[in-house]
Amino acid sequence: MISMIKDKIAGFLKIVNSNVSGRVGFIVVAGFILISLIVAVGGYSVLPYNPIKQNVGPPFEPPTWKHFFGTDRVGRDLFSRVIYATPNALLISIMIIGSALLIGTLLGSFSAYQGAIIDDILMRITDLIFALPSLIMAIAISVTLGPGVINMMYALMIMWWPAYARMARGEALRVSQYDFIEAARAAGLSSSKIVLKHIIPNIMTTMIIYATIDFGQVIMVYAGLSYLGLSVQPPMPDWGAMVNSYQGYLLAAPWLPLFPGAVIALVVVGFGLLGDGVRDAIESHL
Amino acid sequence: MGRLFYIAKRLFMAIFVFFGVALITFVLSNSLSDNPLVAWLGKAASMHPEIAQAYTERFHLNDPVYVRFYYYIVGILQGDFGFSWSRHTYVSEVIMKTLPNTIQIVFFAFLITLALGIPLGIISCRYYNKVPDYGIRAFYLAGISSPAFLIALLLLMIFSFYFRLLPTGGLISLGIPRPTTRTGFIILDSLLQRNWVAFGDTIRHVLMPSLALALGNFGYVVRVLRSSLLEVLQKNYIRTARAKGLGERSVFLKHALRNALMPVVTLASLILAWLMGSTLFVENIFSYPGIGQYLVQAIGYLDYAAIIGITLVFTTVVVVANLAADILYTILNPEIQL
Repeated sequence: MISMIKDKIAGFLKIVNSNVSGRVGFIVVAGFILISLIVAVGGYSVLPYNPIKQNVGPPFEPPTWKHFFGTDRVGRDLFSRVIYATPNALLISIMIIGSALLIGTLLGSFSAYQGAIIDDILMRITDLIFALPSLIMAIAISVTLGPGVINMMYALMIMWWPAYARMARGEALRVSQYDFIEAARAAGLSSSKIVLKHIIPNIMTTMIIYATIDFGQVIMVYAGLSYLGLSVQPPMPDWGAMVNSYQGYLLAAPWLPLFPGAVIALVVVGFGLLGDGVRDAIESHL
Repeated sequence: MGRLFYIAKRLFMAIFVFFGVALITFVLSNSLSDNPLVAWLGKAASMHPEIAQAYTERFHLNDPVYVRFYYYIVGILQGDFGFSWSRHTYVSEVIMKTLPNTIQIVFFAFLITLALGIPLGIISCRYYNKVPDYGIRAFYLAGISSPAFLIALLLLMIFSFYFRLLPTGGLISLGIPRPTTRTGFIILDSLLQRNWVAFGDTIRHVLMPSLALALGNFGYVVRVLRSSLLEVLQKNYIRTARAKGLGERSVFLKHALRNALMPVVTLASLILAWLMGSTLFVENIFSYPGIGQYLVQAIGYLDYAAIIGITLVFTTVVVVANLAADILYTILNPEIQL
């Protein structure tokens, strides 16, 4: 099992490393994950300053070697605040993508294999959620549940799985045509066993590649909801919320809203390049 | 027959989605509180007892849930979304005033998206894997990866603070005579009444918000057009056209581009939905009095009736746009004879 996972990871790295955009994307994404892990483990001690402590520097200090991203109105160090928010972004997107992957893969492959009414109902539900503007619906859901990071995650989880279900269904339909599924059925395996043991392992690679490409999108929507104040509540730092609370200083201290915004863009670009690289590599393999 | 059947199917789908959304918003607003008045009036329920009384009677709020759902559907079909306590007026009235402004931004943003996306897509394909192609790819990747609020702030800094070319926000400058409201679209109104001063001023105000939206979305047009052009140019009919001795220009414009634009039509409705979604951030930053700014304020006040009403209007606009794109697609593409 472990050697199989090792092989898969080695294969993934080889795909990623085969072109420039994949390589650059991988470096950005790996940096993002590494920083998140370090901050998650080390807490305040790995940061240059305490992110919520005021007066660690003079107010409105432009970026310098002491304060890479400058300081805000109450003298908090912006660099520490931005870095401190990275684990949030990673954890939230992993939770959302993970739940979408789990729910989508299970529902999609079961409904493809079972067919009939379950399949019809599932496809109509995915059609419905697909047709809706996901940002607006996520706002409506998380506001009615009450602003807060957990409710925002629920809202995004509700909106995110249908794409995965549809993808899994298509892939599962393709895999079900193969002879080994026929053989498994002839051997008398129950349908849940066939789906879990034979269909899902064979569609997992495609699903995980799709999830990798999708990460940037989740971070973007999450940043939007955070900007609207529906995520982590102050004084805890969060990228989107920081842009919102600092945007009034655009003329006097442009670094305040622009740095957190640029960090969001950098991470999304990283995932975009990684996705492009993976896609190009797979297409040239075919 | 095939085409009509296809359109009927899409129409049915649109109605299904609309009822689905109505059901979702009904469930959401009922999960707010045991008292259904909260969803309709929010905090205004205690401020305006006479409105509360009227709503209780009109929407049968003391009846069981399925009766309430029926009257809820009737209510939203008549355009009644309740009372917005943050604005002290009915939600539908605020929406009537703000929606045209949002449509203005989205309209111009859509034009700019196509005006940037189509030429850049063609250039990107012509110089496939050469320097211009890489440059364009870097440019659009930066655009589609940046949150709308970042693009808006950057534009604001460049065009308003640095070059002082465009106003920082608002619908129209103070002191400019406003056109009388006929259509509700202030740009169209000033154009129809030949109020050129107001026309120029409102265009100047709509430019930056639309550009901010377009910069975040034109990349999708470039990406789709580039790959579909590359695919079409491999097709046999292109070879036939070239073999007939047609000029390269005519082969490209008449045979390749026309066919390669079909996926862009499908994409157009998606882009419209994304543009609508991003208006939240852009209108908030440019203080443009559209429906997006109203939603952002409503979130701040937890004005539930407004949030639910705006959600319904947004999704309806998106669903109608999807339907229009589908119908346009069937008209443009003779292959659809399902």
